[in-house]
Amino acid sequence: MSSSAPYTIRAYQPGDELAILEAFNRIFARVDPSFTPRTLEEWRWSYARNPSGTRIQLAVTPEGRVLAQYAGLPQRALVDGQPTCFSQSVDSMADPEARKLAREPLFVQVGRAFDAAYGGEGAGQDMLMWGLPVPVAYRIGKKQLKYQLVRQQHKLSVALERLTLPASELVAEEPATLPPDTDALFARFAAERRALAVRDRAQLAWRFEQHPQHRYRIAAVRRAGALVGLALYRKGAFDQAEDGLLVDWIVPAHDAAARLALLAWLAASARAEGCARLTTLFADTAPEWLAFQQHGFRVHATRYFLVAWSFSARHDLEWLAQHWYYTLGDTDLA
Amino acid sequence: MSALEIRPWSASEAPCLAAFEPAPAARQLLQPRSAAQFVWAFRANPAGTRLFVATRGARVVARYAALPVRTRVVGEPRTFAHVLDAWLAPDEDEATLRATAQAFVEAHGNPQGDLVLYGWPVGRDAALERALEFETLRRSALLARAVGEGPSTLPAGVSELTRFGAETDFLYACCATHWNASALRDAAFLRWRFAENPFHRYRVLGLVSGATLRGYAVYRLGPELLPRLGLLVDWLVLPGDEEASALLLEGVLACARADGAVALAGAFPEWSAWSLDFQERGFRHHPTAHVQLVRGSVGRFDMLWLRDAWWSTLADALFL
Repeated sequence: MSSSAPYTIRAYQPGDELAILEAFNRIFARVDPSFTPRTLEEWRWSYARNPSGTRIQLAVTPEGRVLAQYAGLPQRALVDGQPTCFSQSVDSMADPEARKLAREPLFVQVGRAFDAAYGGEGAGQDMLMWGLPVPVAYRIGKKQLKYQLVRQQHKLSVALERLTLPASELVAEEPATLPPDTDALFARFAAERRALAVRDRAQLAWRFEQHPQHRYRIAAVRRAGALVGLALYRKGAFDQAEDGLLVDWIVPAHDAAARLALLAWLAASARAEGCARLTTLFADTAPEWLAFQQHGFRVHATRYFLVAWSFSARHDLEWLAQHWYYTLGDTDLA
Repeated sequence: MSALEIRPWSASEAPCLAAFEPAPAARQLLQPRSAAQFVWAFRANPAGTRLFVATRGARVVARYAALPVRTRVVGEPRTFAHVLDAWLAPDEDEATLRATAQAFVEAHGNPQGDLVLYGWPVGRDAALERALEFETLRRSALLARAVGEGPSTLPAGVSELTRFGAETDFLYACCATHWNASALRDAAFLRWRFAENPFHRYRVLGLVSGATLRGYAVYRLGPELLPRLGLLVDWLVLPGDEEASALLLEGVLACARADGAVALAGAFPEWSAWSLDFQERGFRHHPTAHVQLVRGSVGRFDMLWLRDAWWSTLADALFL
């Protein structure tokens, strides 16, 4: 690009955060009447402190003004037991006033730069990029980037009085912090799932304990002293309803006693917080999809749809749709 | 080698069974093997004919076809078309199939033609259709439950419908007000789709009060999906008519028992009240490996619109 170019497409550099924040708060305030400006602390939590890294491409003027951003929240991941990385595309934006500066939309330009910089199977690259886009971003992304629908994202929800839970020999408790043996539980859990984001203590602590806006509650269940299940919960709004939200779930599928103990704790917590329902989200190919229905959860449509694009020759979207385990906690929705 | 000609097959021509020859390693979910089956698919359909063939001399070397369905879209009559598995002669180049598909889509997939093309392609066909700007609508799911113990005869008030008339049109007109898009389930459609279908035998159950058809349910055994699986192929009941829905479901379960089916499966859009109603009646939501692709001929009738607007059941998969 010549020195007279009105903007440069480049990766985030330390010091860009104030300009990113200014653009984010300016652009999103225009389109969302309920928008609350993001704080620098919230930005730093999202992008600077994520133990999985930082993924941001920007269109920046010579004066340092951010015109467009394509960003992702990376997730260290395991695919067939091998370490790799996914990233959730979030906070993408383009300044409407900058439309006349380029023939190709800035959103597309920074998106392509993002794919080129971070897409792949090498170190520091993401083999899978995914997101839950708004309609306008999907319509551009499917034409000009590589967005492809993985599935319509339905939710599982149960009215608390309809929850059917046989008694469990186990009882869940609420520790003040993530248990020290979280990594061992995750290792056992990961062994039964072919593709999932890492849920080790460092990642969960960042995602839930250090979250700058929400307070999440932890439920843990033990058998003979060993941690056999972990759930993350909070009361909150999801898909235009205020429910008790099961945000993350690390329970081996065969352990019905652990599942029942945690669901009983979740129901009691939701009830105590005045919620009428318990709501969660899984891939419909996860074993929890059917297991939760057996306990009274029902499948409901949401407005969300999951799109992704894979950079792996071996693991295309068909494979990922079958095998990728994710929860509400993988997303930025709760 | 003779020159390639790509053209629409005309309903005035003799049936072209050569375009439906078995092809090694290619799926053919709807494969006319007789003149009667061909005529049903491409001449008798009240929505018309959608069949392109590629020929070299007198020999058919490729085929791209669909079954159109008259569809009510925001109150207006339009057509959607269910694209069938494509066919290519084993010694013919893939480019021939691409050109045939392209010609078909140019002829029919436009704002004056079929508003939406849809299907469940696999393998080569899926790649071909993605290149023609089809997009994924959904991974299809089934609502399924065990048939369980119970009667194998129809409950009182439920009978098999053998003719379709104005009462059918009226029922559809009442139900369709709840949807922005739905296949026009009038008497002509039901006759063609179910009563005259030469591929499968269906049982169309109805609940009639006086001169009013309160609802219908279409059932058949579906062993091609799973052994001993009964299919609730279509369902049209006024929302809120709990008595009619309970009796019709009882009737369908009775048909399934009579056939020796152990499970019953159907499909509704997840936003539909029937989806939740059936879950409350013991059905569970199961994913399938079948991916539905769509191509809107007008920009706004895309995946997002169809997801929220289109009432569809297994009956919209015309091979079922």
